[in-house]
Amino acid sequence: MAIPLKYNLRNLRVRWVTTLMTAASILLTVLVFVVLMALAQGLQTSLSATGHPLNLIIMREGSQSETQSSVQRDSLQVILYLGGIAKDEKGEPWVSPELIVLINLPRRGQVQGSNVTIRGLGPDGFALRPEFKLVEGRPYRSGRREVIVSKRIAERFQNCAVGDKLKFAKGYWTVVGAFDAGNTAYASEIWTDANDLAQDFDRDAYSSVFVRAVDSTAAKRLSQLVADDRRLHMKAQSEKEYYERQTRTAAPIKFLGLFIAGLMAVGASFAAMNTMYAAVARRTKEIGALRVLGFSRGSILLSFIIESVLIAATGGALGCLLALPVNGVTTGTTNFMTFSELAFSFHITPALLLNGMIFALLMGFIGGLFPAWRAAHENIVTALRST
Amino acid sequence: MWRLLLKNVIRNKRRTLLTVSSVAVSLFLVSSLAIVYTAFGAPLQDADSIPLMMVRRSSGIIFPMPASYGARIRTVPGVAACASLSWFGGYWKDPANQFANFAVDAENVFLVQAASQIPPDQLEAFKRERTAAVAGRRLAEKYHWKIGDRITLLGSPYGITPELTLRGIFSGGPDDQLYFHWEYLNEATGRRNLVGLYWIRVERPEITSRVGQAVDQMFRNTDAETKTESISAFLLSFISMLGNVRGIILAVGSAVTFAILLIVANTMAMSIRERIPEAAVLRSLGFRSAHITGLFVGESLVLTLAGALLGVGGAKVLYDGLALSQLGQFVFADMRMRPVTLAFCSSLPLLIALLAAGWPAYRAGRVKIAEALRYTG
Repeated sequence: MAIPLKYNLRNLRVRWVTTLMTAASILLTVLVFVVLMALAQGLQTSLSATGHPLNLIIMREGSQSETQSSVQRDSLQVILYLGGIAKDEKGEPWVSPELIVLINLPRRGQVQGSNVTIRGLGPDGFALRPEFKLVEGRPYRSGRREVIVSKRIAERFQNCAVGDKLKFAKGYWTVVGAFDAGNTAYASEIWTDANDLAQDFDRDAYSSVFVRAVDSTAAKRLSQLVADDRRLHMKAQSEKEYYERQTRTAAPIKFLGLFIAGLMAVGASFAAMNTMYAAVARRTKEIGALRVLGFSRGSILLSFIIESVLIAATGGALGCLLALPVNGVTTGTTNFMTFSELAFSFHITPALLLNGMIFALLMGFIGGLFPAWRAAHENIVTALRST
Repeated sequence: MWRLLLKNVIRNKRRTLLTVSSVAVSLFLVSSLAIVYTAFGAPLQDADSIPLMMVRRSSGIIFPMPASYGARIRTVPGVAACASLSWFGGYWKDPANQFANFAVDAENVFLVQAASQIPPDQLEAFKRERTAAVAGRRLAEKYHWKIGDRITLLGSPYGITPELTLRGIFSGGPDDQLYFHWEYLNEATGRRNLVGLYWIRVERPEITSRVGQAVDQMFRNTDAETKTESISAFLLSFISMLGNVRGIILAVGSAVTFAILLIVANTMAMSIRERIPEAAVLRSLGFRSAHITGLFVGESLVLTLAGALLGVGGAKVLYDGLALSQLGQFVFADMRMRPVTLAFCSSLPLLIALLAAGWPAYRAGRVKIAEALRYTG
C-alpha cells in the first residue's frame, strides 16, 4: 500500500524554507536551460522556416553559401531557358538573378559594427518570396540608389529607418521602405535592385539565381539539368535545403546551453540530496512507525522519491514560467556560414518546456533516490528508538 | 575554538561532501563564464604592450585590397615588419574539420608574429617551396599531422583546392592556424593581386596609434581606403559580431551564483537548526553570542572555500593549458585565467559564505538559552 501523498505535502509545508530554497536552485537551473535552448531554437527556426518548397537556388558548384558563389551573366541566359521553370503573368520565366554584398554597419548604441547582407534582386525577386510584406514606405525604384530594409535590421542598426541615408559602395543610398519577412532569414537583410548594386560595386557576375519550378517533380528535374549542364558548373538545390543546412550555426549555442545546464544540474541535485537526507534524518522515528504500521520498504522508498520529485517539479514549473517572457525577444548574431548578421527571436516551444520539466524531474529523482533508499532500509527497532 | 569549528565541518561528512562538491561544480562554471567574459571584453592580456596591428579595408573585412599596399606600408616610419594575410576558408578532408587557414606572405609572416616559435630550418623549408605550409602545434596535434604530410584544403570560397606539404610546426602564437604561400593562391586564382589583410609589427607599442593614422592617411581617397587598428581592437570587432554574448554570460553567471548562495544557505540553515541546543550549551559554558555566530559563519566559510579551491583552482589549471585559443574561425583570444578573474572568482565564495550563514548564525547566537536547551530541532 502506498503512503498517502498528503503525508509528503504536509512535510514539505512544515519545512517550507528548505523546500523553497531547494526548489529555487532547481528553478534557476531549469530557467537557464530553457532560455539558452530557446536561443538556439530561435536561431534554428529562423533558418529552417525560410524558403518556398518550389524555389530553387542555383549557385556555383562547391560554394557553401551565396556570399561565396558567383554566376556569370551568360550562365543566366542558359538558366532562363531550362525546362520546368514556372512562368509569370507576362509569360516570362519566373527567375530572379541576385547579388549578395556584405557591408559593415554599426549596431544601435555601439561603435563596433556587424556585417549585414545587402541583396540585389531581379524584378521577380519579391514574388518568389511569399513571406515578404512591405510595411512602411514604398518599394525601391531601379536606377535611383534606393533600398528597403527589414524591420528587424532597422530596429537593431543605425541609419536604417525610412528616410535615412546609408553610405556604402560609391555613395549614399536612401531607405525608402521597411519590410517584414516573418521569422525567416530574409528578415535580416537589406534589399535593392540587383543591377544598381552590381554597378556600384563593379561586379559583373551575380551571386546566385532563384527560380520557381512548376511543381516538385519539375524541381527535381531542374536540379538534375543544372548539374548535368557542362556549360554551367553550377549546382541547384531547394531554397529550403539551403537554409536548413545553415541550422548548424545553432550547434555551439546548444552545446553551451547543455554544458552550463548540465553543470548547474549537478549542483542542484546535490542540494536536493542534502535536503532529502536531512528530511530522512529528522523523520527516522516516523519512518519506523510507518514500517510498524505495515507500510513496506518499497512504499517508503517511493514516498521519499515522490517528495523529492515534488520539490523539483515545483522548481521546474516555476522555472519554465519565468522563462516565458523571453519568448519573442529579438536578438542577433553573426551566421558564420554567410558571415553576416542573422536577426532572430528567442523561441520557446512546448517541447522545450517539456524537456525543461523532464530535466527538473530527473534532478529531483536523482536527488531523492539515495536518501529514500536509506530511509527504506532503516532498521525498525533502532529507528523507533532514535530521538 | 578552531578545532571545534573543523570538527563541526566534518561532523556530517556526507552533507559536507555534497555541499562542497556542488559549490565546486558551480564555481567551476562561474569561473569558466568569467574567463570567457573577460576574454570577450579584452581578447588579449596586456593589450597595450602588444606591438601588433591589423590593416583592413575601411568598408569592411570582406573586401580585399591591392597586394601592392604591402611595400608602401613598410615605408611608414615605425613599421618594423608587415605581412599580408588572406583568409582562405578551406577545410581538411571533411567539412567538419574547420580551422583557420590563411594564405600569407611567407617571407614576412614570422617577422610580424614574433611570438611564434618555429625552428629556423623549418622556416627556411617553408619559405623555399611554393606549395609548402606551416601549422600551429595544437592544430598539427589535433589532426596528427607530421612534417612532410600532404594536406589538401577543400571547400574554399576561392574555388581552388591547394595541395600543400607540411614543412613546419610553430608554437607559442595562435596555434590553431595554418599558413601557406599567398603566391600560390594568387597564381591559382588568375593573378588578381589582391590580399585580405595586412598584419603589421610596429617598433614600440606606444606608437601604434600614430602608425595607424599614418597608414590610413597614405591610402585616403583611393579606391581601397584602409582602417588600421591594434590587434586587440581588431579581434574585438569580430567578437562584437557574435552579438550580445557578454550580456548572456552575465545573466547566466548571476543565476549560477545565486544558485550557489541558495545551496550553501540551505545547508547552513539545516545544520544550524539542528545544533541550536548545542549552541545553548556553549552559551551556558560561557561562550558569547559573537563566538557562536563566528563559529557558524566560519563553518560556512570553510565549506565555500573548499569548494572554491576545487572549482576555481580546477578552472585555473584547465584553462591555463588552453592559452591562446581560437574562438570560431577567425578570432583567437587569451583564455588563461587572468589575475582580475582569479581575484573575482576567489572573492565570490567569501561573499556567499557570509550571506548564506550570516542571518541564521546571528539568530543562533541570540536565542534564549533556556528555550534553546528545550528545543528539539
